[in-house]
Amino acid sequence: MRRDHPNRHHETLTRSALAVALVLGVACASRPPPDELVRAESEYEAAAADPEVSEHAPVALHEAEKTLEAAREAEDDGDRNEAKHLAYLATRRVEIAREVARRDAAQAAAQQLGRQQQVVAAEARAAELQRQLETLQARDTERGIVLSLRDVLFGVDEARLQPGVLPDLARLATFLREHPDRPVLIEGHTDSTGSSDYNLRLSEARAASVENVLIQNGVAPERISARGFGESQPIASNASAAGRQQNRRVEIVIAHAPQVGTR
Amino acid sequence: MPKRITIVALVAAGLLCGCRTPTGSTAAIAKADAALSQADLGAAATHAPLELRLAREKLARAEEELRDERYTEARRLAEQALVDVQLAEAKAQSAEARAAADDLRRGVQTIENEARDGAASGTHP
Repeated sequence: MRRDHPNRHHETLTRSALAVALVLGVACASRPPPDELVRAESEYEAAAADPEVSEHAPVALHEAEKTLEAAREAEDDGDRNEAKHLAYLATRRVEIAREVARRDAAQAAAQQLGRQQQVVAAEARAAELQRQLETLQARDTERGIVLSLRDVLFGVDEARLQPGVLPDLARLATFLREHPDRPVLIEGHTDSTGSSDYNLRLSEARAASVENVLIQNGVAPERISARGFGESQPIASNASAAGRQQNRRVEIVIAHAPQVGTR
Repeated sequence: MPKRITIVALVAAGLLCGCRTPTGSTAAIAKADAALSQADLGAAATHAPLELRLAREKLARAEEELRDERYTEARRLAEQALVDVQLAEAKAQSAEARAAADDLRRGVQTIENEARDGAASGTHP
């Protein structure tokens, strides 16, 4: 029967073509995506391209990407309100990823700074020790570090220390507290003027007064041993005034730390 | 507390008559509400008050929508409130981490300065 109506058949074809064209046309001219989705896309792209974010917050970034994909799907399905909603969530998740990245970067920096602080503090302590030892005229010997307090630091024929030396001894005490493993020997000496008994007692009393100052400044008493040697260990000739002055002294020996394993 | 009771009641109602009340919206509201109460106690309250206020407003609107049986709107608002709270917390954590790093940086600087000053006074007594 169709042969009898060729025109009609043609008409149907034309109509179908028109319908297809219309559908395609509608599809081609479909609405542009909402601003929210466009913004979410560009925020995400920027964050993904930021090495700090991709390195420190890959999980959070992935969350944002999944939400963004869901938003695109909703838009493709024609559910514009849901697409806008999901785009909002995606944008927020990108922001979260950025904050997570900033947090992680700050934590990494803090760790690095913590290590740096330890190094700097150790260097500062070493430099400080050096200066303290310079003011106390320290010398390095095989017994350890030896500091000499000359007798001008004591009252004449007295065991009492001059007030001016107290800050130096306080700094020495600080150093000793920071190095608790090093034993401290305090040794008093005199010149040969006067009786040897008197000299022995004076040297003991001076050693003891230095010991007291260190203990008052928080050095553990059991680390310290104080002795008087009187005139028995001169370091210069007692025949000259200069030599006698050198012999009147208190020496503080900061001994080497006992070696681990030796008995 | 009455707010919490309301929400519990709403969730219960949602579960009981699932046929008429999409549980998605009540669950989303409960989740956002829990996250918000948690965040109010923490550092987010000081570091990201704006995000938290936004979240609170959205949660209140979500509850209104739920009462009006506009479940989709309720769910969306609750989901947005939750992500706002999450952003507030992320901001607070990153602010605190950066503050801690800054403190350390200042500490290192101080030690370095002191060492330099000490060395200078040591060489020139």
